[in-house]
Amino acid sequence: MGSQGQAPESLQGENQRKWQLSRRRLLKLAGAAGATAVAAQLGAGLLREARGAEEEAQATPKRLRRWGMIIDLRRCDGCQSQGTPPKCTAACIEGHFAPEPMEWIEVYEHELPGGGTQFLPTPCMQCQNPPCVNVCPVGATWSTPEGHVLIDQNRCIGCRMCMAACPYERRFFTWGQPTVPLQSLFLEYSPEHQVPAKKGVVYKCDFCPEMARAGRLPFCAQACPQHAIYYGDLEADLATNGEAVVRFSQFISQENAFRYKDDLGTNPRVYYIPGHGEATGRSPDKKGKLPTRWTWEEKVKGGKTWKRQ
Amino acid sequence: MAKRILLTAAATLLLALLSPAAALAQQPIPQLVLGVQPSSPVGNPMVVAGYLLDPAGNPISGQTVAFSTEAEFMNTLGSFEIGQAVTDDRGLAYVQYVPKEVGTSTITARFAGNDVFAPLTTSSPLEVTEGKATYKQERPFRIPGADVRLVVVLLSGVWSLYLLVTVLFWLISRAGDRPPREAGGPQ
Amino acid sequence: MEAAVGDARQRLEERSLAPLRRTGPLYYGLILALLLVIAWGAYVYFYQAQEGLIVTGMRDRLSWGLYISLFVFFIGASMAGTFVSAILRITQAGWRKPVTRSAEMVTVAALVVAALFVTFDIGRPDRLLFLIIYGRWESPLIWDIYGLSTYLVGSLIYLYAALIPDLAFVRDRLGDSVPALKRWFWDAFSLGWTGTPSQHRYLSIILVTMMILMVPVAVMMHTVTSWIFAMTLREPWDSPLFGIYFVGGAIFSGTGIIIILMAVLRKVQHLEEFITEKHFSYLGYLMAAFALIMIFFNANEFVTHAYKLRGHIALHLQETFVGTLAPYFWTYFWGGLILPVVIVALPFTRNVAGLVVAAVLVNIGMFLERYLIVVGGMHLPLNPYPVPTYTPTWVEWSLMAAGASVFVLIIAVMVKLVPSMAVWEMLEEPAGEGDLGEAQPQRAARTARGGVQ
Repeated sequence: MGSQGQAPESLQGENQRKWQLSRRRLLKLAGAAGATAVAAQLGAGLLREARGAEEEAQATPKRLRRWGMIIDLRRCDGCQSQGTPPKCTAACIEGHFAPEPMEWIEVYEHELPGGGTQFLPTPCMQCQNPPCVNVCPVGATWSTPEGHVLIDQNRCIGCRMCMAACPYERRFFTWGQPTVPLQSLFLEYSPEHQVPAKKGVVYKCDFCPEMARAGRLPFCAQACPQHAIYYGDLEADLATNGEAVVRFSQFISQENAFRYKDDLGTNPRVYYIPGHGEATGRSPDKKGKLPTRWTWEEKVKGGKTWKRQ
Repeated sequence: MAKRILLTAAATLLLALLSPAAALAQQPIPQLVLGVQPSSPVGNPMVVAGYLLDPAGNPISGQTVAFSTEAEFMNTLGSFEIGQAVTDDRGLAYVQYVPKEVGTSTITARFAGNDVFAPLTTSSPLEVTEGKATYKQERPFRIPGADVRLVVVLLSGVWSLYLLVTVLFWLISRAGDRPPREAGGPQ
Repeated sequence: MEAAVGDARQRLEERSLAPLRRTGPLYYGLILALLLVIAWGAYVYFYQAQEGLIVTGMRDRLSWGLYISLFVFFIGASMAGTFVSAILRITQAGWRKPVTRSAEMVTVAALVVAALFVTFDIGRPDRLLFLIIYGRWESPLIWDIYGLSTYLVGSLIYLYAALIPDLAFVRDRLGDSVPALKRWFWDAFSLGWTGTPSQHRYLSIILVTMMILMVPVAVMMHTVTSWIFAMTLREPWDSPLFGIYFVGGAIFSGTGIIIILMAVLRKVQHLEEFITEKHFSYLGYLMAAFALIMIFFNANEFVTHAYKLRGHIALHLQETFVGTLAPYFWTYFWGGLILPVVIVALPFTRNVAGLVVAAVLVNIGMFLERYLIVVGGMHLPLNPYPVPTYTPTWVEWSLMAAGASVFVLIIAVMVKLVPSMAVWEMLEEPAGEGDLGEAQPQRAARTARGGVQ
């Protein structure tokens, strides 16, 4: 059940919930003594260890999707040619109702060694050795077998340990009551569908797992006018940018793909093909991109915005 | 690579336009026999081979044959190259291919043509069936034994000593030589 | 000679009982002031809970600030208490006896306040219980919760065990002249102590067990606190030195806090005869030694970082030595490390006043050091963006004041409930080693009983 038993109950069956309920009652009986709770918790840890070992021993033959992303920097010009703010970010905000100032996929302008700049769209790297998951004290963030790192905002306590741990600065905290559009309030929440945004918890790019399963590209990849973002499945070894299909492994090898901060050992699932937008005719000396805007007309009252820093 | 195939095609076309039309018409069409097993499970390495023969059935050696296949992924249809190989003395060119997606696909072999022979493309269907997983999930290394048991042992060790001390407190309360009732102090 | 010793004993008993007997208006004034600050803090806290952490100066790119610095600072302050007291007991340092009680009080109060600052920093305090319900043992934060609870319970046991004979002593001397609640407290918690030989035996087993146990527990606690930082991929925190660095810093600042508390108690409770200049200079030596150790740690950290200048370390060092963090760093270095050593080293400043100044400097320095660790660790840009800045807001300062007030309040309440020195230990002191000269152990040990007969 779940990935190494870390999936929170909102994704799990009724069984798990009952078990947790009974554990809670057990705690009550024990006078909610801290020591008992710690013991129960460690017991659960032991169970989890055992179950993890069992899972590994079984080595299920079932084929899982292993989602990944390739971002072709040769095609990314920060939407300079479009005369708009980066469209991937805009589409992501539109699609996820990400409150200001969250840019789950943020386009950074990075200095090149010989002068000039390149654009680096940075979604969550979906690390396979995720530092954020390792440090979460309550299991509110976890790695799915398909490779998505998700957050359960109903469990997150807002300690921001994961934000300290993430070396890519890809986690966002709702410091106040976030500004969200009115319609997002009517949507049903799930960790794969992080709406509506709540106060005091952590958000990040979820890699659009629902859409991937339905066979659609994530918002960012759909919106990219240059088709720079490939979304793919490492198991089927295929990736597409909506225009062409490539063999994932072959493509990243042939095009000398790299992973951002690869030497940290986080083992990301997002690959970059080096470039500075040359496929769009951009010269590295053409600097600057337009800042992202949040353009909802009807916003929930009482919402606040803040600066990233 | 779709792009490369396109380029090759364009180059061939250009060559064809430049050379006298008569010469093209006169170029003999070779035979390209594709050797592909009809069905293979996912993740099973297989050989995709092509025999390049002249119209008389003699092998053509030293010629490049490109193999490709097409796939549909997330509502996008596209083709990608499996590999290229040069024919040997027997006219045989082959590449290894590991099919990774279940379903019916087409393996295509293409000979781009040369001074003597006209270009040629041959296809053969391939049924890929269910099989074992191909992608190896990289698991972070874990030191054997460094797990929750370590925490359990450490904490239970300390806390059982606390328990022992609590028992000693109880013993202290029993060992006084004055009944606790009088503890308020004598008048 | 006998008479003189008897006088000394009597004076010790009188002095240690006096604050429990009478309470001056100044004390009530202090409590009122503390309660006012705490009430303000409570209001501010509810304001923060209402508005979210947006009212603080922290933001995404610098997501930990004053609260976590103070958490680390108070965890550090807690170290000295039980650790110093246990080490001194293990090494059978005779001069420890007037010191241990206040040290243990500091530990308990500081741990409570440290836990408080974590709750201030959490975005969803309503889910605090999730830490217990869903706790994952893999998280350094959970290690810290295990460590904190283990250390707090252990410190309470240790403080309480050494208190039993004193509680009995107070019960027997003051049992009739105080309100019923206080009497009940002393009565119930002295566990019917009358000083029989078997009670002494049990007590010494408890004390020996706890003093040996508390040293590794305290070290563990501070190491896992440092691991909250060292387990992340932030460059300035990425150091194997961190555990021992935190332990050293904790003993350092904690000793300073003990010196301050002892000086206050000595002044307020007129304990000059028992807490002498000698005790201060011994603690001063301990503090100076740890100042030197801290300099050594800092040198290790900076030299290894500075030699290689890996990643963003150049920027980090630039910010620390000449940039925005430089005022904090140099105040810490000169004021918190060098100056205290000088004060302790010079004979004419090595007195109570001088050492209190040194201790205050050390604690200001160590607070800045904690701030430097937290903010300095987070200020390096992880992506191409400008160096983030952080300024604590009035909300954070208010809660800092409230937390510090809780710390003082806990100690202020404790010194009104129990003697602030381990009277029974001082009374049973073997001849020639302590302040009371030739007090007879047997008689002294059974003093409580003797008092009522």
